[in-house]
Amino acid sequence: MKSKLKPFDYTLFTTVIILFGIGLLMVLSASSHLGLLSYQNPYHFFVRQFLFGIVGIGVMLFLSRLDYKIYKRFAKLIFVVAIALLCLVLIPGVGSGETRGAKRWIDLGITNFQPSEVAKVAMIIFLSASISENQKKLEKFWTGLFPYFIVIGLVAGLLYLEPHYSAIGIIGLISVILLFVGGAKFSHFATIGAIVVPIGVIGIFISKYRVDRIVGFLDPWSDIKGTGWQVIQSLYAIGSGGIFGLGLGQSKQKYSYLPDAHNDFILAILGEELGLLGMLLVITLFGLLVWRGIVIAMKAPDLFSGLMAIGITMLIALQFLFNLAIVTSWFPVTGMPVPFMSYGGSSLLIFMACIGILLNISRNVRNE
Amino acid sequence: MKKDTMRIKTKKRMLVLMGLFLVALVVLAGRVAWIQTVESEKLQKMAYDQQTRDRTINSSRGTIYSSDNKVLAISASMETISVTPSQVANAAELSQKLADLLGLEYNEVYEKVTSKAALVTIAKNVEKDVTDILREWINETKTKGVKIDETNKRYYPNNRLAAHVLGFVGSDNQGLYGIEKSYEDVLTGIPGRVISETDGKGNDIPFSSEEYYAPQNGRDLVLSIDSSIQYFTEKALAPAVIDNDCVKGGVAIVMKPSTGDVLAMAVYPDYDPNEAFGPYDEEQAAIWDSLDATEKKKLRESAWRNKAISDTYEPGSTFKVITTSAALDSGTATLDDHFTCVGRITVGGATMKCWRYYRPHGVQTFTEALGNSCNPAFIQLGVKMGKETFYKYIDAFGFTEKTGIELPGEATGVFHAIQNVHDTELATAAFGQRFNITPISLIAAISAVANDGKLMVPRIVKEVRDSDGNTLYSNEPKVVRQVISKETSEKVRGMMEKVVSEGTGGNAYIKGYEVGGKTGTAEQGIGASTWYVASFVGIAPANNPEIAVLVALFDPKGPSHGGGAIAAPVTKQIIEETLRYLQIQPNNADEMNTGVIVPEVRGLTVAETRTKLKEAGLKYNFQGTYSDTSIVKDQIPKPNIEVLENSSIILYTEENAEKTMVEVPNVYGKTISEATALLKNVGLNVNTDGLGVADEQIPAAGTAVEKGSLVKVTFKIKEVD
Repeated sequence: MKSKLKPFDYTLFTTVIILFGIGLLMVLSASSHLGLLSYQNPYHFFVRQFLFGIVGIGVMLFLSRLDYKIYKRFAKLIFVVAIALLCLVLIPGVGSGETRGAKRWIDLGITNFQPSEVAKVAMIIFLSASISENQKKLEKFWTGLFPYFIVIGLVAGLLYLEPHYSAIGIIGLISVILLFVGGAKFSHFATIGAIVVPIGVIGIFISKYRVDRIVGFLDPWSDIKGTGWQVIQSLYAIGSGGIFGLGLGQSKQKYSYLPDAHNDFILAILGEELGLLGMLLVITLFGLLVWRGIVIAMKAPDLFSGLMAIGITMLIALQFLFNLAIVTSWFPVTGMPVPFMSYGGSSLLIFMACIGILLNISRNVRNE
Repeated sequence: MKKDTMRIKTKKRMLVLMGLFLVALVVLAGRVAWIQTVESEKLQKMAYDQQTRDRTINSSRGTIYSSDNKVLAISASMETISVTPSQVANAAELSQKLADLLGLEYNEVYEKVTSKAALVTIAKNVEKDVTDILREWINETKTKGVKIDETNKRYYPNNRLAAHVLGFVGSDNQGLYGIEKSYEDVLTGIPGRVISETDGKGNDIPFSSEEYYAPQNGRDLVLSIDSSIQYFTEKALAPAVIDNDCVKGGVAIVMKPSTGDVLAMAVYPDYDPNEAFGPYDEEQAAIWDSLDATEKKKLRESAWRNKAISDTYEPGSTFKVITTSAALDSGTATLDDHFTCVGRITVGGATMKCWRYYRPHGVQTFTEALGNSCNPAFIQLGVKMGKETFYKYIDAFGFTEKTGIELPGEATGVFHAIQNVHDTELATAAFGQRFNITPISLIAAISAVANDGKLMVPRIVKEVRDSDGNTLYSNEPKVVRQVISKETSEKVRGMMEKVVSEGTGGNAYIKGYEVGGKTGTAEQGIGASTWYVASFVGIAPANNPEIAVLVALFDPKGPSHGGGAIAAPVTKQIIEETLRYLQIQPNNADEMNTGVIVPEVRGLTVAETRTKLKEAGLKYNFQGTYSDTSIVKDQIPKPNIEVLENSSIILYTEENAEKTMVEVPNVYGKTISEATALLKNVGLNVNTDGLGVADEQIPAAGTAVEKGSLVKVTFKIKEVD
């Protein structure tokens, strides 16, 4: 059945491996102090990340050989499972909170697992499958575009209950991108936007926690010890790095100054240790990755795979851009891991799996 | 799958996404580059400040010694308690413990302990026995986040002694007044530092580098102040200020003319530099908390002000010594000149009265004129001398500049500009009015007169030593200039001696010593707000002065405001005790009180007894009824006991007469003259031993003894540390 497999996109594969490698080094550096404090083992996080990476690469290589069409076949099932997981996490006793009572995780024993991560991919698969089947109808509002927003609203509603706003944002944006690429009309988006944006704004301002985040974002220096703490520590880290960085392992900010140094703020530690040169390297690598992803999407054999490819690529692109904006104080602090680099098993596995799908599509590109 | 193909529109939209992504990526890359180049230095510094803890290791502040090697100021090792709030587990418990132990408000401590600062200071200058209790408690309860660091607290072992000379230090051991301020750089040394890297919870980062800079201890100082003379001086000044109700306080300075050494500088009211920020007496203590900041500030500034150098006043007649010196030295007058006083004199259209206008001095020699403190005589001298000459000497004596004493806040004299001086101004200035000078400049000038005409820089610090006692720097006596000739100096000293032995300065007369001096009763200001300064300058011994003394009492409201009446006795007391302390030989030993053996008079008649006791240099006091022929039956003290000359012998003419009993007063801590007066007042005789203040008395205070009994008092130089 897989006798005549064509080669996949090596540039993409190599880029991902390099990013993972850099990420692994940074996890080692950033987490050693925390590992020592919490587990009496400076390599605690590094070893786990390394093992998940090995598994992730395995999954990636396996999926690169698994024909992408299978996702279309099981698209609805995958989506239903994802919805079920999102419901599951809300059941008291199942979901475990990480911060401020949010229930985002399911503890699998070996690792924590975030259903929202699955939901992002499931959403891409589901929308790609559905849009590719109903491309013509998409240009109509009530029968075409509107039902998708019901679906998006459903997912967003479940994430709101966790709550997990950054996931809502990412899933919303990815969905809009897919609908846009799929052919929906600009004017329809404008109509939807006029309804959704005010709801989002109100949703933010009814919670003090969210308002604090926004205020802290607008002027982090107004409360250095409180809401502004994390982002200012991040700026200290990146600023300290200068052009050439303090050198690998030389970060000071990782010593209990910068919370989440090894996951959401891994880029800050990277900026501190490897400087502007290191940051530009990572930025270039992500640029390369996204470029390859879009090329694959444009050359994809069919609309389904094209949409999936663009969805996956944009998911990675958005997570990276938002994370970069967060660590440089241009966006409020939200839980947003850097793909392939931030510490975290489920995130790493899922992004590796996504690249596996993308690589499989790359095997099937049309070369005209 | 068949109809599932991509349209051109789809691909175009993908390209749009690529474009948007690239724009966002470039913008964010720019943002990163901005942070890591333009803002890098600023952020790096802020990060460094946060990541490192800079702890100061206090250097030990130098010790200040008196010239007789007594400790006047010393730094005692104390401890500072601080807390790293992020490490504190149970803030309430810790705050309670600290509040209880240190006597602080719980709420204030709790606020500090729960603050977001990296490190907060809870208390400074805590005694070691207190911190030891805290240390034990920390060990028992495994409390985290409390730091106890050694610091230095300034301690003035003699409390108020020489307070205005020493000054004091602030909460960070920085010299704020006095020597502590002027010698700040020498005393402080260089504090050491430890810069260590810490993590966000305030713990040291393991294996991180630590920069250590060892502290360099401060230097020690040896002052010219002699603790005993300072003590005599303060002890003489304080009661004079209090008894004469001197509203604006008083100063007394003792200087050694040959070197310019300030042997004592007393200012009253004084303060305890250990409690420099007040309250300064019990009266203030009672209302202290009700005072607002401005009132406290006013009290503090007034307490801290060293009037001896910072205040100026019109010296009045004490300045006639200077006019005399100028007149003799410039040849304006000789000792053979005579001056006529008719009670008033008219100069430049203004008529000025002599202080004794009601009984004019008539014709006087120059020496008598000084002794009489006759204003018309000095007015004539001034006018004859002319303003150029007079001002030349004022400049030469150093009145128009700072003396250069190494104490902060010295003021300069204020005189009429020479072009504004006409005969009237010259006339008043000649007897010491209508210009202002500092006490230190006057005593420096008087010392110059005493020192063969050589003006010295007043010396307060003699030596700088390292902590091992090695001399690093010796502050040699400095001659400013020869102001008057040696001959003039000798003449003026002789005239001053006559002021005391025959003139207005009689209250400063000390038996056995030739004391020179000059009184001064000066009006301050004009009109309704006029007040007086009663002052006296003295030199002793007049032929070869070892000390020059100035006593000035500001605004006395008591029965007398005359310098001769109230300042001369203070000067006398200071000179007397200082000369004895310095073991200066009397000029006339015969005059000195010597011991007398009490003769046997029992069995003699009253008349015979009188003669015998008179011959022996003793006084007598017969009890009961008696006639010249009564036979003395008993005498107290008994024969063959040595008593001081002029002691009173109590005599009884009745057999088995009931003896008059008196209670022995407590003389502990009194000076010789005080103790003698106290005992004599109740009819007891005194035998003294030693110098200084009373240390032991036999019989003890409170004992009932027969009137006339001998009380032996041992005096000791007060050890001041």
